[in-house]
Amino acid sequence: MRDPHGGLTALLPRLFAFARTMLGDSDSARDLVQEAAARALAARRVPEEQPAYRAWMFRIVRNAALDELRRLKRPPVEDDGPVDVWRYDDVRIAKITVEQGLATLAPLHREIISLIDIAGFSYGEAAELLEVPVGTVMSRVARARGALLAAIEASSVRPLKSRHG
Amino acid sequence: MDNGPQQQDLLKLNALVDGELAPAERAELAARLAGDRHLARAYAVLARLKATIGEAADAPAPIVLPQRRRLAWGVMAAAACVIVAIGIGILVARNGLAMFGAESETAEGPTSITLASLPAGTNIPRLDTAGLKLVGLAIDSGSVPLISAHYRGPHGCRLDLRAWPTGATTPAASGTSRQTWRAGGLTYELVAHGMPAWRFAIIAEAAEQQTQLGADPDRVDRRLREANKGAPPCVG
Repeated sequence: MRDPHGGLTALLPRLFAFARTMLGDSDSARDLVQEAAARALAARRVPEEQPAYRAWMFRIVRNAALDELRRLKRPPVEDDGPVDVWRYDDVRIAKITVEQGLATLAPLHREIISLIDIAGFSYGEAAELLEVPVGTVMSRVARARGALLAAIEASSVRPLKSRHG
Repeated sequence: MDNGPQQQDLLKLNALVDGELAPAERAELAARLAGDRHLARAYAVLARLKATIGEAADAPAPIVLPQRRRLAWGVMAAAACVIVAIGIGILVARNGLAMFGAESETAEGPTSITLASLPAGTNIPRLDTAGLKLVGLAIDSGSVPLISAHYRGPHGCRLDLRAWPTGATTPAASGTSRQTWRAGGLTYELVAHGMPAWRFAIIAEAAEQQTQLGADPDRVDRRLREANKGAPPCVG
């Protein structure tokens, strides 16, 4: 019998990064993904096709992350504020500032950024996973990135200047 | 937002960064980017942001897959295949194919049955998420064919599951909690020893759902997780 979980190991870094971004905490993310993997391995019905398996795994991790956020009383909130990327400068965008900025975002923003930029889902795949229209994904992406840029701008952290300019 | 891109442009810029624009829209926006430095700057910011976020995913994940479970999955699946197939063979031999409905009418025999194609009534529930591991499966080919499964938890919790053809009679099993149900031509009986009633009720519900056709695996998992939260030891 073929092991349906053959691709799980390769998914773990993305699952972990997704969970870490959702929860804003590495230890919690590790535990969550560990448990999700164990649950997946024990599941009786496992998608056979790789894209479906990938979506299934991310759905498990997402549901667990949402449960954890609810437990921590940090429900997802919608930010309807205007998106303004015009005033931002890309010199402040660096791994350290992005990571710190992500930690300050609303869970809903972290979620869509995680799905698109970390997990690598298309808008259509994310829409299916979130059970929302593609247009909603599109606007959430724009708002989330705008919020992240605002968070980076507001942070006192500044990246070191690159030697190569 | 003087001279800044309008909201619709920002949606398109983000979609362009994500490779989500249709060719015609992409070409149109690319032409505008070539002549609009404000728009081009916004695009550069978004592209750099996306690339930098993606770097976070390159970090190694401190996750260790439960190898024993992975191994157990294959072993258990193979073992369950054989054991349940034998059980089906016994049941079929004693009761005829009709008890499994139309699906069984095309079955070639026990040796060709796999777990995926088994009738719903022969499912053996998995309760791992509730902390209860399947530690034994057995077929009793006595006067009434009987499938038995045994589960054990970390705090002295024990569950025993039995299944037999509906209509047959078997001696009731002893325990502190007991629930029976029917599915797929079989009668199931789940018995706990010393488990709190509230926890047993959740687990029994999840077990029953797993034996039914069309059960929602996510819902079952959620219920089993609930049963595992703050679970006290089993006494008795």
